[in-house]
Amino acid sequence: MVMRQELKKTYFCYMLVKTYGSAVFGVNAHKITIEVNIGSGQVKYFMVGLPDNAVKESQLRIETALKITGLECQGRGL
Amino acid sequence: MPRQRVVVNMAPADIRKEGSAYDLAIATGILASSNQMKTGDLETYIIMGELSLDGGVLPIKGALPIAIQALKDGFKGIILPAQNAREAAIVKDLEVYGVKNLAELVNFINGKQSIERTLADPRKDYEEQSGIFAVDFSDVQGQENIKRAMEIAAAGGHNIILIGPPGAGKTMLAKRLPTILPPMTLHEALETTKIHSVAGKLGDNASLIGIRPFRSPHHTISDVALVGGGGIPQPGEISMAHNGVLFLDELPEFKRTVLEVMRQPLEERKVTISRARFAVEYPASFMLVASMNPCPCGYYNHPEKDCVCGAGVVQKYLSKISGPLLDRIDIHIEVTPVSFDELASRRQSNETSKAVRERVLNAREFQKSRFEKTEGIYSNAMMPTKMVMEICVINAIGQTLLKKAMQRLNLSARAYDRILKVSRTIADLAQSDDIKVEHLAEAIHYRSLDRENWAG
Repeated sequence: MVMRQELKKTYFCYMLVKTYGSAVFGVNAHKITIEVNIGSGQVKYFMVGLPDNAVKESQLRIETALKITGLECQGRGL
Repeated sequence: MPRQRVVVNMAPADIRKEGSAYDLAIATGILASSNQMKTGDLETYIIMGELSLDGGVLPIKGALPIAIQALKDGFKGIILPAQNAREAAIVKDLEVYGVKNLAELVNFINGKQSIERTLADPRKDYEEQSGIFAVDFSDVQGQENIKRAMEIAAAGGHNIILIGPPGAGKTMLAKRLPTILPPMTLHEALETTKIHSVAGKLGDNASLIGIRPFRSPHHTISDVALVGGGGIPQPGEISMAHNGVLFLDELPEFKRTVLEVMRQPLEERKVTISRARFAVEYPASFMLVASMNPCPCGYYNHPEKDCVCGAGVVQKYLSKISGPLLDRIDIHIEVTPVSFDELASRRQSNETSKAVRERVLNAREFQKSRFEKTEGIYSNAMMPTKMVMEICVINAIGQTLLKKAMQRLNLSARAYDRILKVSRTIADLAQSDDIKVEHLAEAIHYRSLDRENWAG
């Protein structure tokens, strides 16, 4: 896939990305900032910031969805 | 998944994040962080959606409030499941993009694929829906006095209870009430749609709700289902009926606690559900329509049949509904069965809902000038006590009549307010600037359950 080739060229470590979501309370919503940092260190998935179980479960859903869409990162060693 | 250390932080940390709707935003973050995706204008979008294992994006709850907040926070657009796109597109000036799967989102952000911006015309959707009903008041034979009471209720937004034997047409009449109510304003439609959006009851590709909701929960309903609640507080039936009608058929069959929890929301027109960590507030401005039999067998006060209930049974049945709740219902009306002659005269032309609605609209128009300066009050029924004092002024003859009636019927102070409010609505229907004695007399007549001699 083209995307993967591009990726090899431009991959940087310690990248911090912010995306935005929203939490609904009653009939009002609040902005939620989702910060994702991928970097070196122990191979582990951390999720912080008071997520409940359904949010934590997202790890498995995302992992599988990425794989099936053909977006997983390869050749990272670990 | 990158085989490295991945840290996902959701800020602010003191707000509890629930549900699976953050999948898409987290996935996007991971992709962008591992450079599989451009970060360019990612920060100008709110991204929400649940992921399925095959990369598909599943619908979420509350797309409309999210879109409203996104615009307030200055976001350029919102990316969400295709099924919710029309709902979010109610918010003008916000770019709404519906995505079907993760690949589509990635290509969109990378600029490789364009997704058509979802545009909706809420005004058109709303106009298309309003005024179309499957039922009509002309379906009901006779019952002119009940229709009149319904008209008054609709004109002032008053709560109403219908008391009568089985088969008298109580339910039939109640179901036709929405057809004579004035159409929702765009603002009201938005409020109602918001609640249905949060509850996830809008359905796929739904847009603005244009007709007033009519909710008729079964009498086995629990407290929480009626007022809302749960670990993650969800709106209950009273909130789902916001700006519409809540119809409680067979009122005494409801659990007593269920009816009592409704008391406060009836007054405040909203319900606050408190948890240790937070409290949420749902609007619940609804018109309560209830129906009941006068006694367990149903034939108490029936013109032809005899009631077979024993002594005290009728009293006990009626006592299932507490006084405070009855006080909150402005109009009590007894329904008598339609006689055979009236039923048989099928050709008789009944008044259509459209004609009645016309009068209701005129009455509401008459009220409008009164409430122009006060926010949140749209009808006579919503007036607080202080306003009742100012607006519902009655003359000396009226005072005497009311005083006598109060003493004779042993009415409570709240009933006094209710009578004044209802008489004001009757005067509005007659396009009269002041409340005349006949208006007052008719209003007093609508407090039948407060009468001491009722159920002897």
